[in-house]
Amino acid sequence: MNASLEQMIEQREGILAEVRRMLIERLRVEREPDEIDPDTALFGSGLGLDSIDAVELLVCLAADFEVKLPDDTMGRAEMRTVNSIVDLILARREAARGPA
Amino acid sequence: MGLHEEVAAIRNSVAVSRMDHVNALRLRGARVYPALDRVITGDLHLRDGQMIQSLILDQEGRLFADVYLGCDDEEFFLLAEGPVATDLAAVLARQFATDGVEIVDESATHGLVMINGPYAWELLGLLAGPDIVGLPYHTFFHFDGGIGFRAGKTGEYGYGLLVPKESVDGLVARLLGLGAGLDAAGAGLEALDQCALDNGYLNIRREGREPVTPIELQLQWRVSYRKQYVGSDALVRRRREGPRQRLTCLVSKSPLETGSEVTLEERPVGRIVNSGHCALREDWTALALLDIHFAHPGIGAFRTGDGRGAEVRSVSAPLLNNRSLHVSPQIHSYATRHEFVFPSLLRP
Amino acid sequence: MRAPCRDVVVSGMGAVCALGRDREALWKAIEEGRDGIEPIRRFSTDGFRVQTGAVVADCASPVTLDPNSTERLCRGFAEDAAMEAMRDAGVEDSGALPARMGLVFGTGLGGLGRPIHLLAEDLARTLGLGGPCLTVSTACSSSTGAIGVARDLLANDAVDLVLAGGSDVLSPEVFAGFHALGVLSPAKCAPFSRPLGTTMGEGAGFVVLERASSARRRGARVRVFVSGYGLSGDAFHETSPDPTGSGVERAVRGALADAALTPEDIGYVNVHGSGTEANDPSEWRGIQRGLGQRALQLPLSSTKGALGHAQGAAGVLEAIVTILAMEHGVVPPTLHYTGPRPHSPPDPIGETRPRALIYEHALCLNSAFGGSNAAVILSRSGRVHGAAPRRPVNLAGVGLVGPYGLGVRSFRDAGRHGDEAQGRVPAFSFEQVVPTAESRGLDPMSRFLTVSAALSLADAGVPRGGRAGDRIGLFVGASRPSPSSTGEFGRSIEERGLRGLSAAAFTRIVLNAPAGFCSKLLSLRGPLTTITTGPGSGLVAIALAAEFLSTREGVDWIVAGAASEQDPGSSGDASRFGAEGAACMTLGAGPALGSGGADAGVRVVGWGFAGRGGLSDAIARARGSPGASPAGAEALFSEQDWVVGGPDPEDPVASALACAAAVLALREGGVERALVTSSADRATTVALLLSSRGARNERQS
Repeated sequence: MNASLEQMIEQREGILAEVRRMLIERLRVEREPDEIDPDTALFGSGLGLDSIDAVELLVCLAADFEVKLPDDTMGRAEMRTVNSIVDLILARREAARGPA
Repeated sequence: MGLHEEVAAIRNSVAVSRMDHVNALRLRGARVYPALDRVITGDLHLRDGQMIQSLILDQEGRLFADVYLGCDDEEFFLLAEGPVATDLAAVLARQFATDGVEIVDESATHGLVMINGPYAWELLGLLAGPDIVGLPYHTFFHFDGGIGFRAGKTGEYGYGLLVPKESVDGLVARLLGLGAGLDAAGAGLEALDQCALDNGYLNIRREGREPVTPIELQLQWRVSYRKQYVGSDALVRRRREGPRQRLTCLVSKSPLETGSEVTLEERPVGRIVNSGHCALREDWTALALLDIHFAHPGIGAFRTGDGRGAEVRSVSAPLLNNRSLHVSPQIHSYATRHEFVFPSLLRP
Repeated sequence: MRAPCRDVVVSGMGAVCALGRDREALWKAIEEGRDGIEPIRRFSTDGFRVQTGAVVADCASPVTLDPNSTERLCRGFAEDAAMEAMRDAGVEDSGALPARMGLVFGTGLGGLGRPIHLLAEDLARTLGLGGPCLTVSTACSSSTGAIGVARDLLANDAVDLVLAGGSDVLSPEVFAGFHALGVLSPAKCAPFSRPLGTTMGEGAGFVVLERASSARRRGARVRVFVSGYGLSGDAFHETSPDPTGSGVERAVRGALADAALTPEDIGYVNVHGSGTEANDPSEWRGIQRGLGQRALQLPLSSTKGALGHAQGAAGVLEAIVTILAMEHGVVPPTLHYTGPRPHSPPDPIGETRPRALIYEHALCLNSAFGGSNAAVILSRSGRVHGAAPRRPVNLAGVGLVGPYGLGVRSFRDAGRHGDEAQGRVPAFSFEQVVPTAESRGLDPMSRFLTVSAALSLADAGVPRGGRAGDRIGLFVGASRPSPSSTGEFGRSIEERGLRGLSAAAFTRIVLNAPAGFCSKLLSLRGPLTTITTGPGSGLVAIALAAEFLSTREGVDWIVAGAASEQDPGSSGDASRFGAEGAACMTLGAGPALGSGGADAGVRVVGWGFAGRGGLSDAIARARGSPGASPAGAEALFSEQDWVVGGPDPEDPVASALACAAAVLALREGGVERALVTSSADRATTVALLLSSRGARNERQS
């Protein structure tokens, strides 16, 4: 298989693991990591996080992953699923690496 | 009304839909809670007035019904999609045989109407009074002749009204009438299915028919690993073995068809199980069961068919930045919508 | 015990807030339509989106993040306001006995350091008040609740005169906590208008309450009558109110029933009106549900535009403004009103000055995090009511969680002393006891309380599903909030700074957080309160519940007790906070509902409260109650026998365990009468008289 594809997959899996750990440890989601499917919604259905969790999530994203989101509906719109958080973190790390 | 217009109503204002494919049951009895606990997959953390969205599986852990379960004082009501009413009632009767649970099939006597859209709350307010506008997600209320609840599978504000069958026509007409100022329109099942596809909600009639468990369908949030229920053993086994496939969201500029093979670098990696067209994105959209190793968003090298077909990209659900996320009943209204600058409905 | 009284009056008032250091300054500012909202100088607001607050002037100089200075301010505000109130009421010259003068103090967070009950006790000592001394801590509805409890103490004849009110400080932590929750306005608090959000404030207020006959006898001025009060719980969410307003509705109806008034009698409503997106529309819905058509005809206003949100002191300060307005023949305005937001009342008095209006009765409302709602009705004149007979109270259920395990049997098997009394609660399955509850994010103290409350309801055979919960209340006694939660809160500030503190932990550091969770998980939507007297809190909560039940119609059961949690990571030896766990009693009123079984035959025949050193008075009052037939062998169950831990313990649960032991002894038939008492050296001494005679006959009716 394509090496860069494999690399990208590995990178995603790694970040997915970090995000799952954050959800379990910081947001007290009572699930094992492998129970948290990547496209699971965060708010409303899915993990059922609420507005107070949203605050915590924003702080964790900023503090632990250097992803800064606005704390209003715009920020909420970026945090839809576990995968969308992974996307944000990936994008942040890409940006940090700078132009290739 | 064309499909395009119906979807546009759901995405921009409010649409009214008859839900004849949904079955309603009432369940009563002293032991109804433990009986349900053995059939419904999710933890029944339910207080009076609340609903949960969950599943009923078969013994092999495959999907049988997509359900909402509501706790109404000492009783429960079940809204189920998937099986026909008689099959559902029969399965439950068999499961509840020793529990003395009374099952009342309301499919013949009641009908369900749903309204979906960023201003659905406004239409509901016009119908049921301003009190109801603050109704929290997955809760319900009683009103003259029926039950109203807040739920939906489109990613917009959504509400359901379960009423006596003879009132359904009148209710639909009343909603469309009251909603004239909101550009309310009717929307059929196909439009609802497209919206569910674009927002990552389970379609029991499409991907839900595949011979896979909730794990492959990314529905583990609806199941509990803390209790025993129909299909739980199979589920635990699948989890222990590790799933080999996962449902993944795909988009393409070329048509995607249910049943088509998906390939990656000329190797088959999966099959499309649900497909449609999202006019807003100008994309064909699909869900595919892919080899779990490749079941990630952000891969642009997928192809359909024999490997020389359409270029297909995997993406994170949902596909839209739903308007409802940015509409607040405390601040906005349909009439004043142009006074605000809302972000685009499109996500990258 | 005298018949329930509706002739409680306010004979004195004192206030310290952002509008001024005393009553006169406060009223002048209200008359002139001024607000006390300014950029905060006391601490840095760099990095926050909001820079404003309503701070008490002259206390604006910078302080460091220091619980001692917060407590100093809290006490300072309280002393000034209390002394003004007592001067106003002419207490010094009244000849009232210190032992007959009580204090009910309301605060959300007190000093964020020492157990908050100590604040009230210091204050009582300074003021020479020797009667019962309690603290109501239900966040933003604390001082409204304090007024209600004070009224109950008068009804119980435990005091001749009682100072009721509260104090809270706008500390950096409080500011940062509310900021994190996203509820602060970018401009000045504009209830029912724009922009959305509230402005934090601070201050202290006190009213002197006594019976009208007592005030007249000593020639004190009668300002208003406190003719009724009501409590309820939303059972909805830690910070968002029930959007349908049904919680506020229940509190309003409770107050009207208590005052024997109808919605048509109300002439003005002083609302909680914090201005947040969640509060205002749901509160307005609740007012409409509680007052019906009358709500649309009424002027109502929020004082928070002027004072800011004074947290625990909000209730009493807003009541004081209402009383002053009544005396001046006006209603106060809602400031910063530039037009209604959706779902607002038609007449929020959105003007710049008070409006002339004469009215007989005013309704004052406050709502709080954790869903506790309180409503008080103030009236120009008292009405002569036929004294409604008190309802009999029974103790139908006991629920226990402790180092001995879960349930009454484990408790009994463990015996009274010994190693089982030490240590931590062993691991248990929350799901098994409360299968319908989502327990994510609950701290141990909330878990213990919820499980013990559920066990006590089950023991009493009380079904709590559905609408039955509307008539089941919860009164909790505690010494301190969950140490896991306060620790988590403190750590989040250390690790991430004030700007990044944990909003979730912030909601759990108020004393009423466990009661809020418990009421939500068990759908208990009746009267909800949390009180503290430090040690002995449990028995105080139980006695207050008995008092409340005996004088109300709208509630059938109250679960009352206490909960405590050990420091996380501690060895398990009982710290000065006692063994951990919870003990709850289910008290019922009138004909016993629920199956109960043969054991549910314990009556609560009498109760009494007194101040420190007044235990014999409390006992005499309990024995002297109308339902208590004289003589008969009486077994004594003292809190002292159940206290574990080092010297000067803060154990709130031991006194409730004494009550549990008494109930078990009565059920077993070994005794027919039991006297349960707090230890003699408590700031509030309590005695509860239980009997197993005649209970079965009563249940027949």
